[in-house]
Amino acid sequence: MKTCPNCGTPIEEGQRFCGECGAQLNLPREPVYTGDERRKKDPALNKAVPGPKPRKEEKVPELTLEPDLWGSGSAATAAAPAPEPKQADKMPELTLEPDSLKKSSAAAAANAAAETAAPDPAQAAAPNAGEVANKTEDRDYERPDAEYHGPARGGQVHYSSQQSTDRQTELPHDYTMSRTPPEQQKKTPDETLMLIWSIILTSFCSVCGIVGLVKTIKARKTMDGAMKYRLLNSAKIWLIIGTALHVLPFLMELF
Amino acid sequence: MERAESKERPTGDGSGNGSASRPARLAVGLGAPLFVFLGCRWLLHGGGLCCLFRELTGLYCPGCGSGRAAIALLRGHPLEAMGYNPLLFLLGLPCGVLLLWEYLRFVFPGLALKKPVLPAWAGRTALVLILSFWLLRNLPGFAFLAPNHELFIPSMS
Repeated sequence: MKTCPNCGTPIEEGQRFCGECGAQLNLPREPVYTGDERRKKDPALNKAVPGPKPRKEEKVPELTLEPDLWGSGSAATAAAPAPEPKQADKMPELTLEPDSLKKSSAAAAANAAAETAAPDPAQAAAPNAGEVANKTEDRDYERPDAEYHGPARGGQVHYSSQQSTDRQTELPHDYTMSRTPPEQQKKTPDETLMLIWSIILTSFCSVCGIVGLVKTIKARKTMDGAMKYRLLNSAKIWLIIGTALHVLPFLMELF
Repeated sequence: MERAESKERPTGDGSGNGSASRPARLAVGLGAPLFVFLGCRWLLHGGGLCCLFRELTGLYCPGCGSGRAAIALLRGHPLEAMGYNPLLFLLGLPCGVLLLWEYLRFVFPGLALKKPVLPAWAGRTALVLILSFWLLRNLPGFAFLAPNHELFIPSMS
């Protein structure tokens, strides 16, 4: 049984006014707006509300791409072991194995088959272009020799590949630093010793000493391993000549 | 464990600890002091080197006077030595100390001496100093940089 909202007197269905107090009973309800209608009606809602302040995120270790082309046994990698990450930061090592990927993904195989069946018109015009496109870095995981190790060791990403000849031209100049064969890296003369030797030699044989010094400085500056090797060996020859020129007379006088 | 292994591994620079064999270390350990001793003895007994650049051009090279400076040092006259070749003191002595350090590192790897690392600017600074010295000591206004000058030897003036 409904009652009058004004006086509480019971009222009957269909009654428009209260018989006791005369209050209007069938007042229209407040309209229910949808979100868009309310936004149109209330301009204050249209103001940009600042969201919650982002939390201070933990420092993520910087990821570096090291083209470790000579395997994990290079001297530089071995000399500076990466710090062990904290237990909380450890992430499972991710290894992409191309064979398992191919077997597990039937849909991917179907897509590949569809691509082969209906090739791109541009590729159809130039079939070699398709081969070049397949050699791009984003599809290197398909190569059987490629491995990707996730950021398990101190957040460093190590990309190793045995067949890297096609990547050498794609990488920038700085990445060629570790391309010197390990045999050459072992034979590279000590830069510090060469520098000291060349400075001392300028006191006895100026020309040889200065040439050796210039070449050593150049070798210290360059990032190319092969160039560094050549420069240091060239400087070494100059220094040996300069030293011999002044030591031999001394030895001849001595004996 | 890995660090301990990397200490034993040859560094590949030809002078790292443990990279040289025992006979090589013995040869350098005995040969270098003997060579220095004989060289000093030779200098003190009237030995000397002629400067080819000086003979050919008549100009001073940056090393002119270093032999006389070495003799003066061996005889205990550092000021006189500085008068002959100031660059020998500026660059030669620090380099001599570094060379001695390298010698100790090579001959006595058990000492575990750290490898001296020269900053990138060291070589360039040395080169600029040597070239400037070479140029200036041949100019008339900078004759005090030439050997035999009496600036640092008041007793001779």
